[in-house]
Amino acid sequence: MKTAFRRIVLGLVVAGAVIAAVSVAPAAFGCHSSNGCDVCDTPAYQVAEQTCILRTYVCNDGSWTEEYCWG
Amino acid sequence: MRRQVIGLATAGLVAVALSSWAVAQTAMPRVDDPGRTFPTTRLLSDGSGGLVGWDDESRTLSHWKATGVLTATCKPRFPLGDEWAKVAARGSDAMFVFSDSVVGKSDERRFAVVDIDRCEIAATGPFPIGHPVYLAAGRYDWLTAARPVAKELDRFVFVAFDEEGEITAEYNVYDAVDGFVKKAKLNAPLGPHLADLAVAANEVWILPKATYALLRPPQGGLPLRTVEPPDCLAAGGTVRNGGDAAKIFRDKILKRLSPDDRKQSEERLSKGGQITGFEYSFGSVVAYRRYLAVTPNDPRPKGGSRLDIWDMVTESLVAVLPFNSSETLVGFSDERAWVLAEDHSVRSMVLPELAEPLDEPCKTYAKLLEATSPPAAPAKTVESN
Repeated sequence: MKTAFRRIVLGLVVAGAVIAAVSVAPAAFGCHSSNGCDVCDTPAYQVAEQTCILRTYVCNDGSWTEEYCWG
Repeated sequence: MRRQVIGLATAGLVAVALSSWAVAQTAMPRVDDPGRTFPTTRLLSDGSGGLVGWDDESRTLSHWKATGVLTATCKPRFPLGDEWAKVAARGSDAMFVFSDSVVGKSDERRFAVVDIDRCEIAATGPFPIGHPVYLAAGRYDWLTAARPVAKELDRFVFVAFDEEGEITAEYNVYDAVDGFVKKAKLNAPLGPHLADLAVAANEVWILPKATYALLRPPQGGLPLRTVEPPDCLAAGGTVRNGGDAAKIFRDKILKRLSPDDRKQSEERLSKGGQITGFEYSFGSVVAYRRYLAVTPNDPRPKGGSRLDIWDMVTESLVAVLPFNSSETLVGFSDERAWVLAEDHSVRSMVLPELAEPLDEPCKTYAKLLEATSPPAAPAKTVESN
């Protein structure tokens, strides 16, 4: 009985630790929602010589923003 | 008599040999052949004065030597990347880093080195760290600025890795780059923390996009060293928003995009799409032996940019030249620079002798401004009748 209880407690602790770890991990590259916009992060995808795209925002109101970097 | 006959015969043979050599030379395609353009090709310095090209559409690699003559082409029978692929070159080797999904696996990255002359894969394996933003050739290894997965998205790491996929060196310059970002008050999350890497005079140098400066990260027992141009040649990165960004995008960036990307971007802009972004402190950095060539963002000279050449042995400027901001420096040697023009053709720019450090770079720059400034408008005259 004691062992089973220990297992449950240990299981809960491990599950809690996993949830905490996942919740503090920042978003990886990819798309996510933010303030009514679908935001896509890229790992600085090169689109031309000395030109990369960092993010695109497509929002519920139909607006579209592209975030570039260039030299 | 016999001697005369032999002499004539020899001269004839030499003439035939020379003429066939000349025919062969002229028959070899050159990177700067008139009318030739590279709308879908990424052009990279081979580090020896020549160029390597990777055509995204035909999936073909080309190698032009320092003379501009094509010496090898290769269409590897290996899936070498998608739209995310990064490419760097050293001699006739090309390094690719691409999504593993190309070879039917996960979203991890892989690298592959292609020997263009032999047209074979020389090495391949898992890319050792996150997502590369820049790739460059090291002396014997390869360099990358990468965004590690599951770490802060504005943090980049700068490492060297070998063809076994092992990290061989880590260059800690984050605080130095972050210092430039903060000093310049560049309030944008990503672009200002980017930096390029290059090897000159056998040392790794890192150039932050936030400010025109050259950082030698700690290496070979030596501490971090920062080399900055004189104040008259300083250049900085700029955060661009609103109409300002849209104008630059229409004037400068759209022309660089592939026809498909250009069409899509034009459609989005016509429907009210917005552009924001970060304009780097410089365009390209290219290494050749002891030299680094940089094109800092400088609107003052005619053409809207400069080509600065540094000798990294003496850590001094050896040339300050005018450069067209709509063009991209893609390679150079001590004789010429290779420039990708706005129409996607390649032109050769003859360089001055890169011998002595400039005694007074600011005076050289002042002369450049004087020589390239537009002629003064003629004084108005009042005609009397």
